[in-house]
Amino acid sequence: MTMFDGTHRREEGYDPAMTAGSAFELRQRDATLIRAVADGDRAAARSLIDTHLSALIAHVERLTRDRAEAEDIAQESFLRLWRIAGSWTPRAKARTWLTTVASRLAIDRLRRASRWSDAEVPEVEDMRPSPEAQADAREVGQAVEEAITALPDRQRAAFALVHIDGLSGRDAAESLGVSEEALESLLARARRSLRARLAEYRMEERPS
Amino acid sequence: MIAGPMTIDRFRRLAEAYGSDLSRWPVETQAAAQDLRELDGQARAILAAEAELDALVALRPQPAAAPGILVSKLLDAVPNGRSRSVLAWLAELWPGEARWPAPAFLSLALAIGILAGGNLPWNPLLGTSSAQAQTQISTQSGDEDLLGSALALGPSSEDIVE
Repeated sequence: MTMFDGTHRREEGYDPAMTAGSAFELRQRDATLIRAVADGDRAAARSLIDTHLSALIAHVERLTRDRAEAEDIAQESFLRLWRIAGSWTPRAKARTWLTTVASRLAIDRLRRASRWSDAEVPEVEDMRPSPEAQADAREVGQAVEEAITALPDRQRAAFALVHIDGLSGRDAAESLGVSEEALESLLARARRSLRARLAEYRMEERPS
Repeated sequence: MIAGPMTIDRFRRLAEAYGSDLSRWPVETQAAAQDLRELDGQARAILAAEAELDALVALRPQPAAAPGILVSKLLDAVPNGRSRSVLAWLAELWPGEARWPAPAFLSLALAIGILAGGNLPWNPLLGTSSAQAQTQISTQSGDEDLLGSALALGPSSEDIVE
């Protein structure tokens, strides 16, 4: 059994140390950059791209399971941000805005292509054989990503929005067009499925 | 969010959905959840169990770098520098948590227009006084239009307040 103490955690999106004050500062910083983009500042645009683009593509890829489509949707989301940059006010974080727009675009496309299921899929425990006990963090990380990808559509989207991209429950529910109660149910089922699939990798009890 | 007092059952349901980090939980539940965590060992055990999954999820691979050609396309699409709205300019002049309801600005513009243009002559081309015409033009080209356009493009920052 490999032990993981969480120290490998890195920030793809959600910042566990973020306080209300720093969230405010983040909105102000985003607003400054977006206003600069509206003024034609390519360096500000580059900063926003460097901060958000790769994570946004990863988020959409989790929804679509298609890298090229994810890049296309991420591009469209940024282009929409450029278009409204002139009317941006510091009430939203760029990350939240981009993730919400990209999620809606992705789900719309998937629905049109009949690739998005609103149906509830029964939770199925993974019956694969246990991994080697000495699997390293990279292998475990890949197993985690595969387990997330294997979730049913709505559970996967809900989990990604809240637990990877750091949206609030309210924003995630709005992005998916569901109630907060429904979102809570989706999240709980997603986490149960992940826990079952990743049972072999659970870390051992640590003293608190 | 399901309303109600913070019982241990409610605490468990929230933990099973939002994980071990209380700062991810709905804001309105966080204070009560923190109190229960301090007082109840069962609550702490629930969080510890969820923390295992959170630690595993944190190990997922870093997202692959975005392709350079996509970055170039986005940089080439940066606006030409004349796209900021009155609302955005005013928001910058008064930074902070202030809300900037468009109707307040439109009302202000209307009041200024009436005060400044009350004695101006009738404008036969517009069928109204110059001041009234100017107010109408200002309203039609103001932030409501920009936000309306943004809604067609996607949510404006006003719609997403996180």
